[in-house]
Amino acid sequence: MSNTALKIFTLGRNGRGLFKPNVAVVQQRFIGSPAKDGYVYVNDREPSMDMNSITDRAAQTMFMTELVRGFGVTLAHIFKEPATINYPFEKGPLSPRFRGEHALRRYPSGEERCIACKLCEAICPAQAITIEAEERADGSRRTTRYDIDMTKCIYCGFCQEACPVDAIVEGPNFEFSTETHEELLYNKEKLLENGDKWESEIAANIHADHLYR
Amino acid sequence: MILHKWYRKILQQNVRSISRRHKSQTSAEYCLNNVKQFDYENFICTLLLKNTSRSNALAVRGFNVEVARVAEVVSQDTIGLMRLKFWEETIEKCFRKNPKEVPHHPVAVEIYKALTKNQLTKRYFKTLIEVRREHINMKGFNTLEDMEKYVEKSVSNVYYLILEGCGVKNVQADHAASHLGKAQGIVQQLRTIPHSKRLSFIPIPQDILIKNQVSQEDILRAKSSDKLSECVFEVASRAHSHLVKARNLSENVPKQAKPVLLPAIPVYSFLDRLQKVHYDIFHSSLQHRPWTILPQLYFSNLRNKY
Repeated sequence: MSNTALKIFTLGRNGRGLFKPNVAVVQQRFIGSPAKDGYVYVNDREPSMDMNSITDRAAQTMFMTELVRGFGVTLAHIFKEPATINYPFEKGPLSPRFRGEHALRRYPSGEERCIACKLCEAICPAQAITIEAEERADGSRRTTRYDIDMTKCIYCGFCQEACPVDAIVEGPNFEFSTETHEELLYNKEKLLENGDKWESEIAANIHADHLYR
Repeated sequence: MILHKWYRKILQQNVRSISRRHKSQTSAEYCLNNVKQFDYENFICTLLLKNTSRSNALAVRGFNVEVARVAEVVSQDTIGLMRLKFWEETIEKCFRKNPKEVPHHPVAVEIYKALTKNQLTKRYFKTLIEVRREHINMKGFNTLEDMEKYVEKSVSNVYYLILEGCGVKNVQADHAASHLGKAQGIVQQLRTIPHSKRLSFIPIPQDILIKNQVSQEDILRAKSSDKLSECVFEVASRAHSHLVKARNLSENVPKQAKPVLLPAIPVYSFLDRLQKVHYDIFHSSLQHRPWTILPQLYFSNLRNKY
């Protein structure tokens, strides 16, 4: 009886053995007999120094550290700021040069800027812009039709670069998905409406300190 | 159909509310705001001019802002050339004195108005466009003389036009304006150095860089060094000598031309500050505009000096 208790005691002390199915311990418990000559070895056993057991032990230590490190990473991520944003309610940062949905701007007086010079139509590499123009009663040249096929557009930004009056711009809006193709064929009214909607953002993106050239 | 009408009505209301929000703005105000935003120091100096010459000066400065920004806003040379062509045609149309032909751009309208009141030379406008066209893909200057030629065309011509708008036809005034334009243009180039990476443009002439063994990379990476300060000093001293020449001519310049040359004061102020920081062009104090310029300008204008 006391022998068994002693054996459990030694087993407990030799904690390393608990993690692996230690065949030696099992054998000692059931098959092996207590020291026949009355001695019980109570010291820590010397770890065996042959190559196999050394690598076994090293692998085991590595396994445990990896396990702990993995938990550590998980724990750290709990306290970290999330990398994702709550998209439709939160929006990521946009460059002031972002080229999104098109808009036709107006002067602060309410008069539309476009003077129907057709430079944007000429420069458009995708030929997405169609313009028709005629003279108004007051003698000014204005567009009667200004269509952009948003499904042809490649968002290169050439139209806004070519425009001498800064009328056509690619605003910061990128959420204009539709259900049908027809809705993406923008006409002048739609473009002007966009301009009115996004004017403050568009104006804020134009900034300089002094003339550079 | 009904829906369409309803839509139009809403749109019109929208437009009306917008024009109510921003109060109605004339083409002159548009020019004023544009010059204020992109060319502040000259804007302040222009405000000190007298009534008719001021509106003329604002038209010219507004035009200059438009053509000067072309190279910055385009990504391809051909697009820039298209824009410049538009301005060339606009100037042609303005000079034909037919109000129906003038495109409805606020700057064009202002130039047209200025032309009805004053005798302005078309050649100066043409040169302003021409010089931008020649240098549309400019990456730097070979020599200091190249730089001088460029700024003479791009800056001094503005002064000739403003002087004409004041009714001054005087060789001495033009001479002073030429030197002042060069000084201001060179200073403008110096002030561009911290922005050189964004503009992909080296504002210091090649030969000076080679002489002082400064690599272009140092400028793009905004590394200040003694050698670079030496380069800046060389360029700045040229600007200073032009400024001194312009000021020496002031006795012969007619009285009503002197307010036009007021931008000499911000130019001098910048050169002075540059000297104080030992020609370290990246020094942070050069990025700010000192408040003293405004009272200085006001009192110089009062004493009729520049």
